[in-house]
Amino acid sequence: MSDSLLSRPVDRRALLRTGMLGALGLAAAPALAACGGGSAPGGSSGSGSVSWAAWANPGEGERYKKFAEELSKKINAKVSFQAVVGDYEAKLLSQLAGGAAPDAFYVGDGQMAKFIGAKQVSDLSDYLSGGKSPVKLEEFPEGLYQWCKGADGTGLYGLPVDCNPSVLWFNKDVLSAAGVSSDPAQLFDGGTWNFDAFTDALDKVRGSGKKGLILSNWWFNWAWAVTAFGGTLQDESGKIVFADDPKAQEGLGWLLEQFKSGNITYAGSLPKGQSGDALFLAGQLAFNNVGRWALPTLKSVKFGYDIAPLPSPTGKDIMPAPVATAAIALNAKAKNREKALELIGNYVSKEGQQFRLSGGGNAVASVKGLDGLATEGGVPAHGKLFNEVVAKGYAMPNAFVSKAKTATELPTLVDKLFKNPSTTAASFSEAVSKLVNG
Amino acid sequence: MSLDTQIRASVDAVPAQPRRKVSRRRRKDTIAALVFLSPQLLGLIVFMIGPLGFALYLAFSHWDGFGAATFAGLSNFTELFENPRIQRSAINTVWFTVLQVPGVMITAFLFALFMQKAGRMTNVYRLGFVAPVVTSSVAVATIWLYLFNPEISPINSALRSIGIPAPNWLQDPSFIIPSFAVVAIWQGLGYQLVMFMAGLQSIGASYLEAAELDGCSAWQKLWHVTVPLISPTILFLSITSIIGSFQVFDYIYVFMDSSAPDEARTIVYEIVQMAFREFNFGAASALAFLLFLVLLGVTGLQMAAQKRWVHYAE
Repeated sequence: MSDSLLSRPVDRRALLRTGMLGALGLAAAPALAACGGGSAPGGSSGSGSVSWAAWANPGEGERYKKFAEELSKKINAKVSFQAVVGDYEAKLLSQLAGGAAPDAFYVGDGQMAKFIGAKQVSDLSDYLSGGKSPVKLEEFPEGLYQWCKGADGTGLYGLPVDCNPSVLWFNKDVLSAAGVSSDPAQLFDGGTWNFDAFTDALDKVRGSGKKGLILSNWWFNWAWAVTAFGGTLQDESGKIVFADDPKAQEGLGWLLEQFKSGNITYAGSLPKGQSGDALFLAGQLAFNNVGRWALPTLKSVKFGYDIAPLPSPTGKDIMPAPVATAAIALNAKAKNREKALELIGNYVSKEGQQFRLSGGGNAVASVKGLDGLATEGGVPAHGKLFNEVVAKGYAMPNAFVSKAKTATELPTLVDKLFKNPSTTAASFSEAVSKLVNG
Repeated sequence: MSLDTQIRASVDAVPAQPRRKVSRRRRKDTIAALVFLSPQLLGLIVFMIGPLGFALYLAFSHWDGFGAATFAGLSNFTELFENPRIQRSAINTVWFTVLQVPGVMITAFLFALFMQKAGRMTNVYRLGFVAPVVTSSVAVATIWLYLFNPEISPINSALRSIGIPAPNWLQDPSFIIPSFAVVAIWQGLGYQLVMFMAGLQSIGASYLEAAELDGCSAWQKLWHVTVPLISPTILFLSITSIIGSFQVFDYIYVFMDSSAPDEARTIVYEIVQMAFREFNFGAASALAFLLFLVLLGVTGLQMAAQKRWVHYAE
């Protein structure tokens, strides 16, 4: 008992020494934890472990963790997921610069060109064409992965994880109250969903005192006007060419006309989904030009809704439209390259996407053959159109993001052009082409 | 040996040992102090001084976030001075400061004066005012995003109901910065209110009674007694407010994401854009360095000017 800790006399020096050590430990703990924060969650330092990072909402995060558990068994490695909360690009950049990035990570369309240029991501072409990959390039719609190629059009540095096509969600009740007798989905089914029908619906909604459609300066919200009339956005070399295309000019002219008439409201640079989504949910907006990500928030609304593709000149076709997507890329300095490739392959494979996306309701598969995901639960009624739009759609043109400065300046330029009432289709095209083509 | 010499020798000899002891003890104390301080010092060096030094180095370098940085001389600074977008952002930042700093200080001071008469309700009011302070800026911005929505905002409905045309707060170029200032004032009010209340409560009743006996009106008491006596609080709040307002970023980022129009951009927003969107860490660091110099200068001027108007109680 006399030797026990409690009974031992504590002198001043011992107390000070203990106190100092305790203080040192307490103070150093967070610092040390912070220093190690980049690599610890990845757990990829040892052999047989692999990690990936992505942005994720809480529901997605849980699903990804389950995916990691399942994949761990399948590829016989410890797979871990790092959910990045907050400014994803900044955090990933810090991790890459510090050599602490996970083996694989999501890359947004605005960052891919920079990461390829800086040799931070690896070419996946050989893996995809080899026998080990559970997914082949042919399984992806061609328009979805062009932005993952190098500046010279070679290589493939990322694979789309899922996607979201630009479609028109519409509020049946608002349209009906405005006197629109057939909703856009019915018109599309009947082969009469053209721009006259769209303009007519927008006119009627405006007359009823509600808003027709709100668009932002995000390319997803305006590039369809270039292609919906049959215009060409970019040529095979990736150069933006819509300034010389009469059909593209017709589409842009129609869009600018709708801004001027008040049929379509320009919502500037508000965060995507804030202004249009809020009004749509409040039953004040007839159309909302967003992807499938809107579905989870719409499930509890009391009004009727459905989707239609962007209109076409013939009224029955689905024209090429923007598709928002992100890719998973292989860290060029991956500690476990082989397992990271297996992770990527399984992540975007049919099986992987089925696991990740089913029940989530906020994206569309980026590989062919998973049409059922978009029609899950029968909501919205025309959910199959998501797949059809993806099949003909295009992801962010490389020219928009090939230079980081261009990627940041394009939305600002579009904002200025849409706010200027004297902007014409020609002046818009000229300004955008000048910025992106250099 | 003379007596004088003996005495001097003994005087010299006597303190010699204690002085060595004292010096040894001092050295021990210094070491102990350093050991105690070392965790904080380490943190300061790693997380403050180190990054500051690195930012200064980057300000004179070209660096895209990867690989080695190359010496850039003053080209990053030249690039900034020639960039009209940066000039516009600097003007926006100053405009925000001009609106926000006096706005929040005057409002907080007035509410603090009223709160002195609130009696038992003081704590309730104080809680209400402080709630936004402890709410994250992102949550605050999300709430205001709804309040600034021209179509569904209750503010706009109220304005329209009394015949005032409701502005499009976040789209109309002349309203964007004032809108940010309104949000910042709303969120910053509670902190300044608490500080002003503490300042007001520290004023001795005798000063005000003396002024009253001298026949001062309420306004004269406020202007000639109260304000001078809380001038240290005013100085402190003005310095911290100006520094904070020059660094405004979070509201803009939530309101506008990464594609804010020119009319909404501030200096710190530009720094983040240049660094993490355009991968131009050199120019971003140069801009951060310039911002640091400006804040240093403004704070220095405030400190110099305080000798003329700040009264410290004895």
